[in-house]
Amino acid sequence: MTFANLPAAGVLAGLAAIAALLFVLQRLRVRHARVTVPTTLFWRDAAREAPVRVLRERFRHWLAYLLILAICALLWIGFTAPEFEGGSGVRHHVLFLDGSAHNAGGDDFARAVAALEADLRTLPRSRREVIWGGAHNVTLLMAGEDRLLLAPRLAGLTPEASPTKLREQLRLASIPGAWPERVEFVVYGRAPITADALRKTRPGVRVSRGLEYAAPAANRGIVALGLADARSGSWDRVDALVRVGASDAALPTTGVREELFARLDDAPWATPPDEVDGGFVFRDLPAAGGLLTVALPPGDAIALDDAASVRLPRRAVLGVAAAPEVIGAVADAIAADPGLRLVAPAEAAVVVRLAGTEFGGALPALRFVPTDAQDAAFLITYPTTPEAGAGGAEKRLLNGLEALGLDQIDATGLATALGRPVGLAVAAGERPGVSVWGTLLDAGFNFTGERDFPLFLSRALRYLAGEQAWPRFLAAATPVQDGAAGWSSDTSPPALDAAGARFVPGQGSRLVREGDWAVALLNDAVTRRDRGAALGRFGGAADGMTATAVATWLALLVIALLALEWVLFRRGLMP
Amino acid sequence: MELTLLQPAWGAALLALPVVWFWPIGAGCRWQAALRALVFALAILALTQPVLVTSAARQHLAIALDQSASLTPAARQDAAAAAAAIVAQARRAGPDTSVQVVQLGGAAPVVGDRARWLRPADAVGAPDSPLGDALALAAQSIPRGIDGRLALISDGRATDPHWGDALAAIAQRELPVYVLPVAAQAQPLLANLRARPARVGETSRVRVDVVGAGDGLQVAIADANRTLARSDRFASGGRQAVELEVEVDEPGFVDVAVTLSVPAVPGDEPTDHRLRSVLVAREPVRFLYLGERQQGAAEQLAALLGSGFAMTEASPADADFRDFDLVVVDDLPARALPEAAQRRLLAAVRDDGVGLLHSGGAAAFGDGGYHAAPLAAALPVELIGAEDKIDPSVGLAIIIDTSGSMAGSRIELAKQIARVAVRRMQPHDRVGIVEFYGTRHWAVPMQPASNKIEIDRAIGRMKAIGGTVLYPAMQEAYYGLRNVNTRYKHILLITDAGVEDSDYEAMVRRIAKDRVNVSTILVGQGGHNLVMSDIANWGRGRFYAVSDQFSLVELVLKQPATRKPPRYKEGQFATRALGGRGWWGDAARPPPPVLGYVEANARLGAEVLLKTAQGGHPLLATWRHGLGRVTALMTEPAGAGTARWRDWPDYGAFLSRVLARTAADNPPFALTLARRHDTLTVSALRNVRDPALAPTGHLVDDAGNKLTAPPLVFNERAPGLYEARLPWPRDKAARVVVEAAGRVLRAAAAPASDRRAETQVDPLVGLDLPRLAARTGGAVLGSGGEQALGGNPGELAFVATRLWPYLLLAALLAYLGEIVYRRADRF
Repeated sequence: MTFANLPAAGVLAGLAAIAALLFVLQRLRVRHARVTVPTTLFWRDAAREAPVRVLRERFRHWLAYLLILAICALLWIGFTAPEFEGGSGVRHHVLFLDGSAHNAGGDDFARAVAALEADLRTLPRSRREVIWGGAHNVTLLMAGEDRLLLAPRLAGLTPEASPTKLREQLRLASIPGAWPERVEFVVYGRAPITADALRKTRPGVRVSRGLEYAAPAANRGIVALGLADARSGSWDRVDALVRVGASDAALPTTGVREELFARLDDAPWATPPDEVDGGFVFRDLPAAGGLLTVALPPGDAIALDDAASVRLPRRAVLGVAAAPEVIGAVADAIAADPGLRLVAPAEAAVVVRLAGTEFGGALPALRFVPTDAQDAAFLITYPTTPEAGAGGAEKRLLNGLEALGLDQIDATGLATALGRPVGLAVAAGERPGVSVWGTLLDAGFNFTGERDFPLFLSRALRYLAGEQAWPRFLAAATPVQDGAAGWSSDTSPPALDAAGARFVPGQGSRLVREGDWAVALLNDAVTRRDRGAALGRFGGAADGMTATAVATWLALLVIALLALEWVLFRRGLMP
Repeated sequence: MELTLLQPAWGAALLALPVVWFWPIGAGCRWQAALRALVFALAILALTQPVLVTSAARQHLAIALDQSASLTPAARQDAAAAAAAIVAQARRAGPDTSVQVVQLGGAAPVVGDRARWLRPADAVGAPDSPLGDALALAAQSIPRGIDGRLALISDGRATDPHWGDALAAIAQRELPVYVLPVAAQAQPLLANLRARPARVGETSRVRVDVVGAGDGLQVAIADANRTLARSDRFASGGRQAVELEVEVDEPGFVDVAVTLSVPAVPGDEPTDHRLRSVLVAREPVRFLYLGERQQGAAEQLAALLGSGFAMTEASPADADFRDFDLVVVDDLPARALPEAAQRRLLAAVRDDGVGLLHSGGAAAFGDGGYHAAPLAAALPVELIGAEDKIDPSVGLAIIIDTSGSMAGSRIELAKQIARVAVRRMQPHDRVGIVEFYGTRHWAVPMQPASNKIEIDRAIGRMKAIGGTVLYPAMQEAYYGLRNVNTRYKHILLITDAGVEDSDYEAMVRRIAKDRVNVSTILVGQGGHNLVMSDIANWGRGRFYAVSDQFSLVELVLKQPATRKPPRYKEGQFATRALGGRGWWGDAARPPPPVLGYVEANARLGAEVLLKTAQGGHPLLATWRHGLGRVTALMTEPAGAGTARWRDWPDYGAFLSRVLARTAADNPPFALTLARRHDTLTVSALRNVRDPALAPTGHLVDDAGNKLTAPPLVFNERAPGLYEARLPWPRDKAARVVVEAAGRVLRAAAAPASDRRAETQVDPLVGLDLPRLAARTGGAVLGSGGEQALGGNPGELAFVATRLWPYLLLAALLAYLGEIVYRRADRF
């Protein structure tokens, strides 16, 4: 048992004080008063008018004392707000309110909230807490907090366009020490959990569902929306794949080309998609940074997956000017890249030249320098920004090899041929730059003939031009994988990087990074309405009693005793 | 402010209060009854359980405290002291501030007994410090809508990189994070192990960073049985990249461990300087062998190359070169490789990245006929030798209209044109003349052009008589040419266009289809004639109009060319090796002398890997051709020229390396594996243009056996980008095999590839604490941790006050008052 308003010692001290006070009152001695009476006939009256008074008389009326003491003790205990939590091994309860898209159908969410509130009344507040399981799992009600705080904290919450984080919550719960040894997660919603995830929970963690659900209503939604280079070969165009999934075989997912509605920014995209194996491809969308939104007609169980958006990249053919001394070395690689075009310096965005020449003026340059001009064979210069944080140069060095495709080059072979190590260095500067030993252009090294030289050239020129990677798709709470971007360069700030971690926000149907990217739900499990492993129904707390229940019983008992004592008193049976 | 009654129904009991005055009748005065009624009223109100909800300046501070093993003992103490100071400061702020400490690791909770003390361990029970989990739990503990802030006291060295979700939640909720960086242990460690999949026979380059300062360090890589490679001892001043080269013998997966040897320092705790990885050995090179001259060469090559190469022999005419990584044309004369097949082969090299090794001796490069062949232009060498003029032979059938309409100057003009044409012909050419004048007639039967005098006389005998019947004359000329064996064949029609109507088109097109060109010359009119120009057009020839003898035309029936027949040199020629280890590996250099080779010059841009010591003629040269690579070996790899190489122990390895590097390296999909706890994500990005190509695959166990569960189900996320997600135990290596376009691709992730041991965390890939603070609006705390931690006001900060305990207390006081009142007469 715990007491909310006082520590146990204070409770006991109060009880002792009350008992002592009542004891003193009980032993008040009869005080003799002198009364003059004219006749003994009135002795009885005189005795009644002037009773014997003592300050310390013999303790009498044990039963009366105990009755009064019981009433006072109960009132005192009631003040201390006791709560029966059960024994030391009692189970802690985490009420997990599913705020994911899984619980967005019909009245599922409202039912879940009602069931949670009902169960909340039955659980000792120090042994329960409430967690919102939406795009991110957040505490709604801490252990010990009053359940009345739940309503204001639920204000405005509706299921979010996100997959469930229940599995992640159970993983955290299985870390020794994260929660009490015996804990039960009660799920209020349709969030599925796999049998595999249940098996991996530590002993002592139990998972149940707060209410029973009937079979989910049929649903259909967009489960994939991703981009790729245009099949037509146009560099400034992209193709977009759309896949439709359904929970019920009766709902068509293919052959629904006419039902798909696409909008590019504010205007409908009139060109119908090609139907490919299992999906639809919108061809030759302009890679000009527009927002492509694809939608299905509403009316099914879940509306959150009926539309999805993706931000198209901004891509233009990059004009490259090459000095006459180096054009022979790079012309083929530039010609092979549809995104690069050899132009005159006046039209160029970047230039390729020998160091010490003025070709291209102040444009960002890929420079070939004398071997003794820099220690490393490859030197990347990057502009300093406050965003870079500590160790920015070293991090760029770490990622530079891969980002510029240099890890694919046979550095050992080059080093052997050169007779000195081939290394990479980075340096801060006013603007981006890449410098390479000019010796490597000699035919004997075959550097320009390396399989991956075009990759190096392409990435270096794009780095110089300030182009950034673009994700092929952004699904809510789905980590961005390598290869899922149009090109990757960690030498420029990654689009979705924060403090060294790549992540995609957990909630779809929204724009992030000041509208640079659009995140969509794109979750097969939600659209298919996966039910996961069967969970037992929550049976309520096995032991313990809430503070409100204790207060109710205490107050009723007090009132009953008061009534009894009042009756006894009125009948003169109480001192 | 809002007053709520949890049990409002009990309030109805207040209606019974007047009973206190009337029942039971007995002792006590009305004041006492009033007091008792008050006690009853207070108890009944308590029974209704009123709660007052008011807005308040409620705050919550969550502290993630790192006590993991990566911290120095002193840093652990400093961190604990700083956390205690922050907690004390928060408690001084008042009861509206709640605190939750999430402690990561350590021997015991160091700040209060209500801290969440995380004691995670990896699969083998070693301590783990997933900072992301600590941050997630700390952020999660802050209730929605109240003023929350986080304090992170750590070295930032998370044993896994999965803090993105926690940061996403923090960013979305706009929770400021205050950081207090503490010192981490500074022992040398291994980090960032990267290994590129290599083909069997190729060198797999394994890169690893040694982080931390030390002398006498050494990195080694070993599989279960032996050490595969070892670096020299070196000194590191902070970060040193080390590259080891490992050769794999068989396709599949090789479990390896990279270890760092650090000279023992007395007093230092031993650390685990070991990283595990799984190397991927790719499928054998699939190559097509085209060679017929060297008996048993294919078998010898197969034996030399070993299991890293899968050889196929096929007819060049039937083979689809795109199905192979490499095509080896070995000592094959050009006549055995038709020009059409050569063009297909070059297209496969240029457009599909197929590799080509062209090797051979005299039969191929000597008099093999490649000089003018399409394949020669793609070779990295230029064949040299005395320049010969090549004048291709031509067969010419001249049809002269000798009908009556040609009488006079026209027939003479036609004879002049015919004489000019015959005069240009060489002795190896063949010529014939058909005249038509109502019937057809061979004025000069097909014969060598060397009989110029006889031909000239025959032309002189022609006279213009009779009618005009062209059709059978053309048939006659066509059939006459069919039996002539010359490189080019031509029909030259000389007429004034007064010809009968007939279906010339069908006939002329058929003639042209048999590679016989038809040209027409209109004489006498000096203008245009539609029939004549059409015949020339259908016959892929030219139309000329000759009005008089001053406008005679030069007939170009063939293009003479020159060639450089190469020299095949026999003898004993010492060699000189060039190029890096990428081509040679550990092979002893130079190789033994060759006994014969074809003399050539390297083309500009070609990489010469082997040349003769004297003369410097290239023996082995390579360059890129489009997407593919072409390598030329100027001798027979399994023939007489390399007879001495058969005793060279490194010949097989060297040849394998050359072929492997020449072969196509464009797998249909680029595979990426990513592990996040117990979930494995396999990404396959299509590299080829075939939009219908989709990957299928499965996982394999340690022994390479196919696993049916969990299934590898790919879903297309973007055009050409497929992903499969599946549960997979974190402590098991993931070995994935994907099949596409008849090729087998592999990718692997080492056990627990998404985590590092406590003392193996690269600080550069750890959590960037100052950046985290800057991005969330927090700050870097001073070493003591005592600093005001500001937050953002919560819009849902409420406090609920239960009133019923106080009502019961009031009832108690009232009741005691009544008792005292009852005893009042005793005072």
